Amino acid sequence: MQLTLGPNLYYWPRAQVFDFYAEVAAWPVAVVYLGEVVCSRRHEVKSADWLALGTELAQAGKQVVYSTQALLESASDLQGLRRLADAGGMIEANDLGAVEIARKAGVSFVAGATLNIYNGPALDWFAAQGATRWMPPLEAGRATVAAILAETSCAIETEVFGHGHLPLAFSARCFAARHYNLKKDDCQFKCLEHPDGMPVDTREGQPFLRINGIQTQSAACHSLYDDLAQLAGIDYLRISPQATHCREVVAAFAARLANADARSDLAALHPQGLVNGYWHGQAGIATQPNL
Amino acid sequence: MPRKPQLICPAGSLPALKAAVDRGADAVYVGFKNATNARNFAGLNFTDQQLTDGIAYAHRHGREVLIAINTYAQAGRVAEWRQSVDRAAEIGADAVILADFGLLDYAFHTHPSLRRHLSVQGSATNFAAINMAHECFGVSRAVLPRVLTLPQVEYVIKNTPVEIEVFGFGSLCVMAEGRCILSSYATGQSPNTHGVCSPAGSVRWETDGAQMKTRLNDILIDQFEDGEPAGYPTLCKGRFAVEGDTYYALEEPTSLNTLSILPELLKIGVAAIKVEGRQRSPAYTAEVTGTLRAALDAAGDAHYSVKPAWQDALTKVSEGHQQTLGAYSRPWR
Amino acid sequence: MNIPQPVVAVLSRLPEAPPTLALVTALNLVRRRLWPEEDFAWLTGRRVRMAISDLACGVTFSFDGQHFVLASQPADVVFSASLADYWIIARRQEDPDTLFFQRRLTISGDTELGLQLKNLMDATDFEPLLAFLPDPLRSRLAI
Repeated sequence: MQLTLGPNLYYWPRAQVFDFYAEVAAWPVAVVYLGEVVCSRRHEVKSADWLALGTELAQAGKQVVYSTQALLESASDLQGLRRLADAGGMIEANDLGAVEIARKAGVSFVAGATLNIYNGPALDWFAAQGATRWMPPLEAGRATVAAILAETSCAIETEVFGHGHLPLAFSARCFAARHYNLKKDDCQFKCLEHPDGMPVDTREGQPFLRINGIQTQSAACHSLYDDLAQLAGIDYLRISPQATHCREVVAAFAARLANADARSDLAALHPQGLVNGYWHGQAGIATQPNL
Repeated sequence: MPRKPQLICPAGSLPALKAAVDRGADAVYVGFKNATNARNFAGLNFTDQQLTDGIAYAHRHGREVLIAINTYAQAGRVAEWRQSVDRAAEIGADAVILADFGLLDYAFHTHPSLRRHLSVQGSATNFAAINMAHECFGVSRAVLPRVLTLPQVEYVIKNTPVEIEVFGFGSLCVMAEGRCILSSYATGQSPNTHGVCSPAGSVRWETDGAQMKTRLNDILIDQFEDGEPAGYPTLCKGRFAVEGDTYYALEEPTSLNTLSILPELLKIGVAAIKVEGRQRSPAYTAEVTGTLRAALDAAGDAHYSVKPAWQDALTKVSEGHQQTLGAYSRPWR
Repeated sequence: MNIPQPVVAVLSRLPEAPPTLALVTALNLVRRRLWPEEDFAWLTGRRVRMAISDLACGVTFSFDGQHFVLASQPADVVFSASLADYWIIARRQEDPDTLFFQRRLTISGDTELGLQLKNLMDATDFEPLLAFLPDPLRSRLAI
């Protein structure tokens, strides 16, 4: 099993993005997903920049995949995607519209978690359209993924969301703009001020969710760090970028994959908690000790 | 003069189906009593016998029955979903409403003459996605998630041969349908997997004097003071604290109401207008169907205006007593 | 419909067994006619209370696998509404969810059990029952 670095879900200043990926070139990840997947208003890094970054990372030996937005709404959203497909890069399709563009362009693609592949026949269908790798829905646990793979007849690589704040929902509404009483069309790019999103607590002070523009995430960090021994049949494990400690997290996973006895205290890096309930067929917010 | 859209109304029971037909629905959408549809609630939905009776009743009045099989077939149990499609064909449904591409593929090849609609749970928000479903599965109609503005809806309509159905009234889902797993994050069950959002088995209402607290799997979703209108216990409509402010961080308990923009929906060419609420009672179905029937019949008139009586009728049954144009109107976003 | 305070005072002191007995007897009489396909397995051994908020009283019943029976508190699920609002719901003049949004109907305890009961009532076709009533009464009750 190899590590991958998922697309950055947050909105960071341009310089921070370039600094981040300059470091990534040396990290022990086999695949790097690039691109803006959350909001079409985010433009610190443009398509051409992503393609240039991708070229550099490819030269550093990474497989580069361009991820699409999960909610393609407008004509310009679709055109941006066509440009990426035409440039010949491999794409991660996070929307059915992206699948249509990839299959018409004849490029193979990664079927993203939001394509809702919950069974073997669905996976077979996407594979027939050109998917060479897929990510199960984030709510699918170990038993579900195994059941899907057991009833599929295609050969395809499987990637699982291994560490990061879970992207739970997408909306037309921007919750960051709403928080500041701004209209989405005039959001003043408030997401730039929240490099890991905005925590949402219950009225009893329980960390619950996390606002990231139009996306709602888990407050806690989902982590399969203690479940690595149970990932048989999984080809890739995704680590989702965070503004802080990302390098330490990647290093910790790489160390434990190399040596099952290695231990890092990831909980100390995540004050809002670590959860892994989804992988164990429970509520995502649950924590199942598995040592 | 654009063609008048069909009015598509919800029924969770046979009395609701009859109420919808009696009050002027062009089609009624329903579900089986199992996890294959997105309103898999205890005691709700139709047995085979009730559906047979319901279809006979609707057809006798020249109306259609659409069967929602719009959750995702769960691995290892795909046969249950396929059998539901088979049963829909056998008992004479006018169409099935599907979301799962594996199931669409099955329906297309096994029952080519059974009309297929792409469910809102299929999350198709753009013409590329819809045209793919048309080309690959012969989908004849798509229900749009409640995330697009009116111009965006119009743009989709102009670029697809597929009929477009949009929501016209009902409790508002603020997220892109089919792309939300908030419910399973808190409870382990979601619309995609179990056909439920914030399932009743995880809900607790605690009353403390005049105050009422709503808990979902023990997580405090909201608390209502005396006299404050309540909403469904869906966690996207709870009040939470963000940087010291406690408010409806995602969405107020509210209903979508498109009475004021019906003429525009007609003009851009939507094929059908859908009412949310299979979990509601026959009284709701009757009230909303009758009201929207009257409004739709009037909406083609150049002098159309929303009658106060229609507004009152819909206000009364609205969640949280608030209404919005939702994503159709840019400021909401 | 407002109930005069002295009447409330009297009603709330009356024992609950007689009205509950009347209710379960009636339910047992109409059960097969109204719910021919329903085995009530989900209600077996579970206790439901319908509290009448303006009378400070209510009825508590259960199902023993064969019949509806009188039960004692505490119940697994408690509905609470005014007598007038129960009447409105029974006649389908208002949707129970609407009354819930308006805080006129509350449900505490096992929400799923409550929902199942609510959905059963919604799905019930009362016509077979009305057919048994004499004409004048039937037209008054017609829903």
